[in-house]
Amino acid sequence: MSSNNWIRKKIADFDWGVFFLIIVLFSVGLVALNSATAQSGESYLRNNFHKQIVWGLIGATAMFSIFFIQKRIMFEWSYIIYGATLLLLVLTLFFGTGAGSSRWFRLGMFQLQPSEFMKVALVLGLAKYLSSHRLNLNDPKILIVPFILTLVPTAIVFQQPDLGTALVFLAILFPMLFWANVPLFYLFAILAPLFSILTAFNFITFAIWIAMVLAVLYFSQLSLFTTLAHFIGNVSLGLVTPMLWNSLQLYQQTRVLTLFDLSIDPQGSGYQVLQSQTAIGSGGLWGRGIGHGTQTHLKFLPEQHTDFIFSVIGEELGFIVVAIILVVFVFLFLRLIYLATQSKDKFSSLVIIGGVSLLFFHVVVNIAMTVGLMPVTGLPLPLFSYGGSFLVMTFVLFGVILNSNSERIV
Amino acid sequence: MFSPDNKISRGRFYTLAVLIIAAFTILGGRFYQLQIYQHQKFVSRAEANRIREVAQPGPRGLIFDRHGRLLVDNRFTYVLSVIPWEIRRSPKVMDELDDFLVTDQEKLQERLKNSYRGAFTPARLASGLDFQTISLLAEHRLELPGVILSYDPIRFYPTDAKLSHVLGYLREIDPNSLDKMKRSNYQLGDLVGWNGLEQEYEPVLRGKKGIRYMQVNARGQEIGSVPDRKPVLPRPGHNLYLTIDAELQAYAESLFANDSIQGAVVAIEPSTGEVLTLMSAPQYDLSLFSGAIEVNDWRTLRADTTRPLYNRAVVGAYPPGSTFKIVTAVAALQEGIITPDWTVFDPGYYRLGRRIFRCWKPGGHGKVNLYSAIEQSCNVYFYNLIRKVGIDNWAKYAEIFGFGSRTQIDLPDESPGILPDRAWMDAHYGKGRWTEGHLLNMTVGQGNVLATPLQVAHFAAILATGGTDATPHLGLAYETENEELEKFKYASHEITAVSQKTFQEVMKGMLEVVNGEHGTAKAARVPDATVFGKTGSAQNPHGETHAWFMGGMRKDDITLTIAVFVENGGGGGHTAAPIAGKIFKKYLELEEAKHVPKSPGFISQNLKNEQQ
Repeated sequence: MSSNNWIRKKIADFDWGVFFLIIVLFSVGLVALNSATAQSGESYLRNNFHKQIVWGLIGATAMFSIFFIQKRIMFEWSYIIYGATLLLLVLTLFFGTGAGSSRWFRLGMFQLQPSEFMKVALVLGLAKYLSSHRLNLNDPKILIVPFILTLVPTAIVFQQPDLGTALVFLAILFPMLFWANVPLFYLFAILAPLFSILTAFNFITFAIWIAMVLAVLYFSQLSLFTTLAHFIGNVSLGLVTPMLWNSLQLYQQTRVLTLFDLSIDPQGSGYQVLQSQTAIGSGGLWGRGIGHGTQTHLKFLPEQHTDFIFSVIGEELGFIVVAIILVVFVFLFLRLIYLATQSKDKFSSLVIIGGVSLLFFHVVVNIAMTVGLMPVTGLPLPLFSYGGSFLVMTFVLFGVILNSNSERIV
Repeated sequence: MFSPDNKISRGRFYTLAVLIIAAFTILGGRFYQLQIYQHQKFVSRAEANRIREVAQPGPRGLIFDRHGRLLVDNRFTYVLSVIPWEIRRSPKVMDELDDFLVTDQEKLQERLKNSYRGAFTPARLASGLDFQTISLLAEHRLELPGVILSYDPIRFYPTDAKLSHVLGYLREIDPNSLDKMKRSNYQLGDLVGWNGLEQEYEPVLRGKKGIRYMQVNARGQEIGSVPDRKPVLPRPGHNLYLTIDAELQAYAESLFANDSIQGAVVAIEPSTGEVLTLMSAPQYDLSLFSGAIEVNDWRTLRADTTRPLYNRAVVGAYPPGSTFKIVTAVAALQEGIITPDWTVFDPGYYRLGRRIFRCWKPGGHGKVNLYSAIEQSCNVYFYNLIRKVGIDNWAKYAEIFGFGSRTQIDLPDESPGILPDRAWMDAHYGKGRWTEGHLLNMTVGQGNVLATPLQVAHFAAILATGGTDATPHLGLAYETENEELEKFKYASHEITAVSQKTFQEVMKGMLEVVNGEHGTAKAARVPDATVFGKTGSAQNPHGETHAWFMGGMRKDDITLTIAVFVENGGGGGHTAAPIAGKIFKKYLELEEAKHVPKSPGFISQNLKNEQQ
């Protein structure tokens, strides 16, 4: 196969539909960012808009470059990429900078956030392991390596502390296990304790949950010992959790609690969410017009160029545009998981699912946060929020996904 | 190598697809809820965020006298305030301020402490700054962060008449009354009438606040007006016209001030109840209260043993002395108990059981009938008379003349005085525990009887008109939005329980008091005018006797009735009657000069035009 031919074939495999959706989303994001940074007299904010364009160009270049890498090389380098990124992440523990948390890495005039690239690296690492021939999926031991691959970076970012990113890593792991045909009972066994913790604060929800656990255990027809172990484990976890809760930091408790009641902390994250809802709600059907959102331009809306950029769209462009963007996201994700089913090899399929999980989690958690359906976790909105590392990571991820979709016949 | 065996079950694809669609459907539903369903709620919340309503005070109504002379005006005073939080950050500012304000640091710190209302609320350090100081401060404002220059409306009193107890003053509304008045759109820091007419006519005088809409950012900084909201313009309060004659008032005030005596004067036009003069001496300077009063001034006023803040004319109740004998006389005549010719021999004392009641004149007045008893104020005559009249008849007529209840004058805190009828005496001393001795004291206006100078003047007005009971009042009219004068209405009725014959007979005695050979109030005479009266010298357990004169003057259609009360003044004929005489003369002089109005808003003319 001549290299010319190879390139032609590669380009033929480029998914222009996905690319088009990416461009649409990034463009709307730039419009919102333009509005959010168009404040008189605050030039550093204005610079952010121009920086974002530059980062977008760098990211797009990276996306195309990665697309043109041979898939085989990507596959073979997966563990190395994973290991190298993890090393960078570990180095932030010693050399990192940042206000209150050490998640940044200073490289000359740039600041790099290795935890962003760790997300892509984790997708690659997990995909490589889970696509291995030798795996006997019915053996629970195969879960050990994916969990180690995930929990090591999770632990590091959790202590930075960056709860949001830690959750992203977990959000990548479970859909990939699901997609790799790991028996559903294993996933249940792992996720059940999580639900036991969440439901532990209310007697009725906990009782319902334990009843469900019992039902699943009954229909799974396991040995008496295994059944009892799962049952006792979940029940005792539910009993211990409230005690552990009280040992949490107040701000951590508050962050979670604001999910349930905005009035707990009116000047903190509850205040932010209230202002965000006000911005979105006042936008109405058609929005207040670009540059005319008072919540945005009088700065009532917090973090409006990063975490709450979607509230700017809600306020200035209204429900119609919001609905269109949501539909575009749905199209993008459905298209991607469809492509995952079309992959001829398991590695590519898993990479796409890992990437979709990552993006889906970011999008849903961020947007749900702006409308007060989820706590403020500080997760940015892909293609919209200002932030160099994150934007480049997003494009790199699309590069990896589009690459995985190419070279269908090996 | 990759495993080429990518066996994806359709089930897993659909599971993820449904999950994705479900998640975005929930998000879309939430946006629908916020942006469409609850849209209005969030629009108003966003508007409340960005728009600050700044109240614009409406100027308070001015106050004029009956002839349209300006009594209370509005002016502005320059005020210097500081934001305590800023001052704490740069304490140097306070050091510099004492040079600008020419005062010492201790005083400034004390004022800062006194006017502190919170770290971000401007605290007032000085008011009434002159223009030079203000310009100097404005020049240096960049070096004085946290210093705010503003101006406040204050009341200004351009006349000679002090009128301190009539006009009252303004004060910042306190949190307690704010709760009660919130419905009428008051805010903390608003000035509100605190005393006198300023309090009584608060709803008339008060201006209607305007609203300016300012756009603010998240830090609370004002960044301009809101173009799509029209400001509400403030509306000034109504101008108020009083029944007071400022010149007569000033004259009465000067009579007391020049002699440094304490007491009260109430002068009423008897047929209408219009109060031409109402004064309590000593007066105080209302301009002390025009801005925020200095704590030291306030303490000095409060500590003054002559009690300048106390309104003796309306709030003070005193034994009315012999002026009260007229009540007994009316009761006896009207009930047919005696005729004016009923005679008593006065040896200078009266014996009731083992007690001796003395007449004021040693040796007594000899043979006296009703006329001469009133003329000479013979105690013994009335001791005899009250025993025939009895407490019930006596109290009945005292009540008819308004004693023991408020006259309903338009001033706050009026005292009802005390009229001790049988029920009162039973309650006070116990049934059967009080004697006729008490009654003997009461008939000469001593003992438990207490009356305000206003009540006594009101009594004189009823006697002068032969039974017209017109509510005494100070508010004459107010100016409407159309600049027309709207007259206030007051209750007035004719007393029918007392016959004209009775009025004429006591009047005959009271004319003798002033004009008779032995009259006690010869000093109240006015050439060419008819004057009647009755003196009183009320013994006072706390000090010197109180001097009273009540009476009236008529010449053609010019009439005036009066009560003069001189605290610890001694004999009524000696001290109070001459004051009444001077005020009568002054009034005649003013009225006969056909007083030329100084202001186009000449009230009497306007009212006459209206009536035509």
